[in-house]
Amino acid sequence: MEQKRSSKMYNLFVKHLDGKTLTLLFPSPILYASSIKDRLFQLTGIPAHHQRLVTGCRHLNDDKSAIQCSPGDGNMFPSVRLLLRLKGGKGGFGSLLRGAATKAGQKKTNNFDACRDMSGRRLRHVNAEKRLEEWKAGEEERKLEKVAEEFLKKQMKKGKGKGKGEGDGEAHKYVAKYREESERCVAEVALSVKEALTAKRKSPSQPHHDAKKLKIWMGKRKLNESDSDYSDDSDEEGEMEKSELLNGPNELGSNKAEGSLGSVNGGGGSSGAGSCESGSEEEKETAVDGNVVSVGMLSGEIIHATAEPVIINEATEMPKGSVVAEDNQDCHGGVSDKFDGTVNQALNVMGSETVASAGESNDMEIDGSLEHKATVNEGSSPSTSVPVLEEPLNFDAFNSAAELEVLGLERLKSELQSRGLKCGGTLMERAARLFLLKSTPLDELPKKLIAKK
Amino acid sequence: MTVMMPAPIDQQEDEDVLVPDADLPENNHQPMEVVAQPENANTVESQPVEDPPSSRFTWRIDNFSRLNTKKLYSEIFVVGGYKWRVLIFPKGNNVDYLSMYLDVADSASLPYGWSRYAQFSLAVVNQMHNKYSVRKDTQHQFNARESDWGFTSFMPLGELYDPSRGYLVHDTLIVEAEVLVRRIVDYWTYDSKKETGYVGLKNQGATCYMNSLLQTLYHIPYFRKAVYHMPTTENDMPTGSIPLALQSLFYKLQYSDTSVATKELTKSFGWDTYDSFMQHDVQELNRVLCEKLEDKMKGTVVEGTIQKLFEGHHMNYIECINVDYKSTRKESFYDLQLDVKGCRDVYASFDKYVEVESLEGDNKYHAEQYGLQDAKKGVLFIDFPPVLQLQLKRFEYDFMRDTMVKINDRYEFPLQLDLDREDGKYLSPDADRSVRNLYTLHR
Repeated sequence: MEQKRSSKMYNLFVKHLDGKTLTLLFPSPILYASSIKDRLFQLTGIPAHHQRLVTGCRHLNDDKSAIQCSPGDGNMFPSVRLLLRLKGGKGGFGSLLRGAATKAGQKKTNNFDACRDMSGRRLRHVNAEKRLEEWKAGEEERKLEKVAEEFLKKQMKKGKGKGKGEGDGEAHKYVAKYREESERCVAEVALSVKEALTAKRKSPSQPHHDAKKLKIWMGKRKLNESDSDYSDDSDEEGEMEKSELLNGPNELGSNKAEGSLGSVNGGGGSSGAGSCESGSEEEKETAVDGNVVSVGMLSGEIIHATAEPVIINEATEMPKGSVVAEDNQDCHGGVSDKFDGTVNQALNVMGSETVASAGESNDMEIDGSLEHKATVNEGSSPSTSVPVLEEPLNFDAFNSAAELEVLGLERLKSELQSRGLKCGGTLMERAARLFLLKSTPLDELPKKLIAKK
Repeated sequence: MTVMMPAPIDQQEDEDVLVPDADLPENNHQPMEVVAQPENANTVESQPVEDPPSSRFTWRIDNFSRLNTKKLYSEIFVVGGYKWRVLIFPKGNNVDYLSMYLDVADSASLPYGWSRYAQFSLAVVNQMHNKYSVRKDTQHQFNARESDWGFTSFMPLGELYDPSRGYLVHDTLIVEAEVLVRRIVDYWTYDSKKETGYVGLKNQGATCYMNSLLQTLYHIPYFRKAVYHMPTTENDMPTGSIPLALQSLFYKLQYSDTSVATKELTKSFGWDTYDSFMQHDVQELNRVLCEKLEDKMKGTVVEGTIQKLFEGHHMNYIECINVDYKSTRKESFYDLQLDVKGCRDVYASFDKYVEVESLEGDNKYHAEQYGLQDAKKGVLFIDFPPVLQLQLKRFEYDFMRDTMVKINDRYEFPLQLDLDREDGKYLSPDADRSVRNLYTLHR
């Protein structure tokens, strides 16, 4: 008895999947989920990761989960139930992913021609070689087949003779049928043309007349447009045909196709395709817009009619305006020319004065004999002596542009102006510009330096 | 599959806590189904009352070729309780074809947002050979902006005005219209809040199982109110606090007008995208979720709510055969796992649950003083919880494939479950017989 007491065992009841109870004996009053699962695996064969153990109130999830046999419970653990996982959650994005995975697997190819064998050659070529060898091996068989074919051909010659006769007869029949049908078609075409003409004649004459008036009144534009005299609406809304023509070909094409289908079927209960469907509101809006547009166009045309004379007047006025402008320009030019002339005269006057002052300065610097020479020059020819005096005096005395700077800004400006050169800029610039005349004639100077008129 | 059976019937009249349970509204998928059926019934019933939804209208137009009007309307005819008329452009609607449309006659006076669906066919009758009649059919959802629909290019005017064709005889044209009115539910504009009073849950990933569990718990008002009373702080983020996320979810289910997302809740679980797309066992999720909520409820005014709602008690009894030794042990349970295989309905499962088993062979019982003994073991219920959760064990193990196999056997459960049946054979001698154990089914 004492030995039995010392070797106390604890009972754990586990309810199996099928509802049966398993009695497990453990020596320890505390059990962990892992040990229970291991024991159950030995007994049932269900792997531990598939097992799910729950007690009445708790979930034995991981190794930390434990159950214990409290003293008051005697030697029985709380009951445990062995369950599996029934996973739910169909649909959703996850199922798309799973579906894609399976579909991807299905797309594997069966063609390996592009793959290479161990020696690096493509399987396509390897297989071709094999086929060639097989073909060569079959040469003798093919020769025998040829002999057989020749034999059969000889036999067929007799048959061909008979066949030819039959063929000729049948061809004759077809030709006769074709001729009959062609004659019928010609007759039907003629009849339909006549009927169409008669149908056109029956159309009301007044709208036609109105159409003619509209054409005459509209002018050339209307003549260029392609009109169908059959329906009045198209005439009244002639302008809209432009926009309709854009859609017209497609619709007409599809409609023609349907029409042909109808005729082929004999028009017996043919059901139109959805392509023809369209809400008439859109057409209503189009019609309303058409009316508005037509009204606008009419008024526009009136405006154009009134505008055209204005345009013509403008056209006639344009040359006048241009002429006037040209005249103004000419006047302006003349004024500028005169002004330039007066300016030139003024410059000449100034030049002479300057020369006089220059002469005076020279006299002061030079002895009495020089005074006499200067006097003689002035007396000989006043207009000609001015440039003569300037040139030699100015340029012979100066060897570089820097030396010309001594004359000063004002002197340089007047000298440049008298020669028709640009007179602006710094002292150095003016001196350099003037010094060019020492070695270069006035005509050969670059145009950039010449003053603008 | 897990069948949750919250039963809002008084378990013990003396307990005030359970009094609100009796007033619990029985709201679940089933009411939605019931609501759907009456709608169908109404639809079916309304048909004989109204005019036949399909009928043919024939329009004879005299002096057709002399008509100068651009648009020509027929007289009004009634189909499916609606007024219709045919619209014709004798000279074509800016095309060299006859244009013909079906028009809603009173579209100008109909209430705002009206809409109706009709399948119709329009035909120009050939008066010489009926088989040459031109007939075209289509369908359209008419509304205020599209109150007419049809064919701009019905048939070429050349064919129409050709006397030899037979469409225009004695300058008379015959037009037929056949209209079939259908009632089509516009799923795009379906508003479940208006129709049923409830909104749905968005399927975040493969989370249907979680959605069904959440809806079940939401429809236990005692549980929902307890969740609302769980304390949270202003600094809590829904993605980091299960109580706050669950409160937010329940509140949105209760008051939102559009479907509710479950991302905050799954984030509070610590799940990432992979976990959302992973399928789980709903009973396992229920156990884990309730355990966490129970921990969060400790020390608060709603402590013990899970226990009050879901906990029942049963006892295991052991009786040795060869020696005079008996042992009993009282246990609590939050849910019951019922067998499906071999059981045709829920009562059969309960019978199997309380069946007496023999512990013999390898399953011998170890009595304290007598060692291993043959014994009999059984389970009897002491009391049942206010909300009894039953899990159906639709799984068995396939050793060959090393995987779980689902049992798809037929299994019946009534709308009401009487666990006091056959004079209380499920109850233990200690059970309080004055309590009525009658449950209403919610799945």
